[in-house]
Amino acid sequence: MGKVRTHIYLKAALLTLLVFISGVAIGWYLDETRVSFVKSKIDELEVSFSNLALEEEFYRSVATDSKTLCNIYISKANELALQAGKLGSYLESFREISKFGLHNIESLKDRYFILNLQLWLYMRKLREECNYNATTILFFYTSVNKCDDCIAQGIVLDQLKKKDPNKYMIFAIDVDSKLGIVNALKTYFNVTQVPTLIINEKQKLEGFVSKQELEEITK
Amino acid sequence: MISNKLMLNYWDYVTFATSIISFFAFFTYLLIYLENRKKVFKDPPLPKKLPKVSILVPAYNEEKTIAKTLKSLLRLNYPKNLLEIIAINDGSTDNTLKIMKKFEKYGVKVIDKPNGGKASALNAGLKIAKGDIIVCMDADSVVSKNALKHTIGYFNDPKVGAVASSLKVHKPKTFWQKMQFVEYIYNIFLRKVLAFMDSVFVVPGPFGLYRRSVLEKLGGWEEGNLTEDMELTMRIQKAGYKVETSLNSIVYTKTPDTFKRLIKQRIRWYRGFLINARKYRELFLNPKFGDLGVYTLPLYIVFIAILFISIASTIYSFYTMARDFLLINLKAGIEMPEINLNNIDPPYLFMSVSTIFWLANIVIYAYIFFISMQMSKERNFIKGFLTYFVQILFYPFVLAVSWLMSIWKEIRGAKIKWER
Repeated sequence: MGKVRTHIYLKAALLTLLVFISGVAIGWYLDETRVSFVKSKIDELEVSFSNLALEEEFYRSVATDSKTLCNIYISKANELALQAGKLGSYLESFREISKFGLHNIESLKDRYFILNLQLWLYMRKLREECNYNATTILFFYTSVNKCDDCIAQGIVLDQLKKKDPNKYMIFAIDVDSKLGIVNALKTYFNVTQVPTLIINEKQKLEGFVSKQELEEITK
Repeated sequence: MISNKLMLNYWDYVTFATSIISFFAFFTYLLIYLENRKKVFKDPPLPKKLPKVSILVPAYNEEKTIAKTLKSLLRLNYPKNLLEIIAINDGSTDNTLKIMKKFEKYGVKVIDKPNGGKASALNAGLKIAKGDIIVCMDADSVVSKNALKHTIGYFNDPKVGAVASSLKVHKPKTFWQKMQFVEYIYNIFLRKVLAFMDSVFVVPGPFGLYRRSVLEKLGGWEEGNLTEDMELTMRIQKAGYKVETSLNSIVYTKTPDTFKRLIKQRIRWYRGFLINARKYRELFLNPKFGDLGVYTLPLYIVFIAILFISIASTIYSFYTMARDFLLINLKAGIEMPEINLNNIDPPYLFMSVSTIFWLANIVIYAYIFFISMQMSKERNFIKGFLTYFVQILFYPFVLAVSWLMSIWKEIRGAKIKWER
């Protein structure tokens, strides 16, 4: 009685498959682009940082005025820390939307943490050698489990950094990272919960801390 | 390190599944359209010997619109001696009958009967009608002059049992009427494509044509059915007749102007679908009824499911946003986010697979809407598309609410109140 237009359905199914595959391919391509984008940024930062450290060592060896050196390197390191912070937020948001290249993002995250902690140690050194009055904050968070307080804490730290970029040096650390240095820091500061903040490597604050409280503590 | 390379969540799978179904529907319609592109606007020529046509106009409290409806019918381009107009007053409590009587001097026949519903009024008209072609014309609609000239020719094919017209919203004024304007335009495309697939399962009340012999053989309109037009069309399809539609026969119909009235109308329509789908369940997935059975009717059900899933997902993401706002942003202190596009370089990097599929969906349905505009001879594309984009934001919610309420009422077995 009725006609079933099978040829139309077959063609439509084929076209659907084509569009679907193209969609997935674009998604996969975007994931790869994200990975190479972050990778090139990390490469850049790593080179900049090594260069910075090398430069400083050279000038110190030829004994230029140490006060001038301090000023130059503090501002340069600040700039790097700022860029690293931005890269960190890229990494976290890419992590959420990447479907096919997540393992690559995760391994980049390791490189990022290592770079970040190198920067932290460098800032520590500058602080001591130059009598530089900055506050370093180590921010322990988790990205594996849902942690609303971590996100809120992140926003608060961003606000502080924006308000006074030269005063606050913030280094975010994912407690779920398998890196040895992260484990060492966790053990050393006895981090048992998230979020945890370590102010100037001395004071430990557990749980969410509001902007006002933080400003009060670091005054 | 994460061992699982593919990180797809529930939302991604829903997006993939619904996208695949909607891509498939899109390509089916597009291919059918392309296959028949040349005959889309072509209506079969009128027969040498024109048939006698009877137009039935059932009316219940339509004093505001009945005069316009009858005037438009009197202006129809068709030999007067072959045209019979029968106005049926279905126990109106307003001036409908009085206005009808004024048209008697122009040859309009008037039947006055106690209230019994639209189907009973149509059947009463059918009893005295002399035409070979019976036309149902809602008393809230206005027909274009050449409507009969474009539709009668379809009956040259003895297998054709009914012919539908192209329905447009009459002078859309309110927001909700403008939303329906877009919907009706889209339906003009859909009905034509479905006609090429012998799959039209509703000939709408405004200007639907039927072969008299088919009507008599099948026993006229079913009284007490919520959507008697759909019931009759499904019966005609089941009996193996064809249902056609003409893009050149245009009818303008009055549509609900407020949200409340719109919802009320939709509950009647959708509940009518549920009732008639159950009544004609043997049509579903039955290859005996061709594309109607294996594709059109099942897909309609699937689309209702997709509608619910999309709405549920949207509500869930709004809930998550609200929750995040309360638990995170309020806690951290609200600061206006810096909107600086240079920060996001390059912006497309922030697109996920799901976003790509949603964008693709919006694009393909915009394209369908473009073809629909052409088919319904609407020229104002800018206005049309602006309305379309507003419509996709609001309208799915209205449809979902109506479907939910219809299903709820049907499950509870609420008493059927027949209202126009």
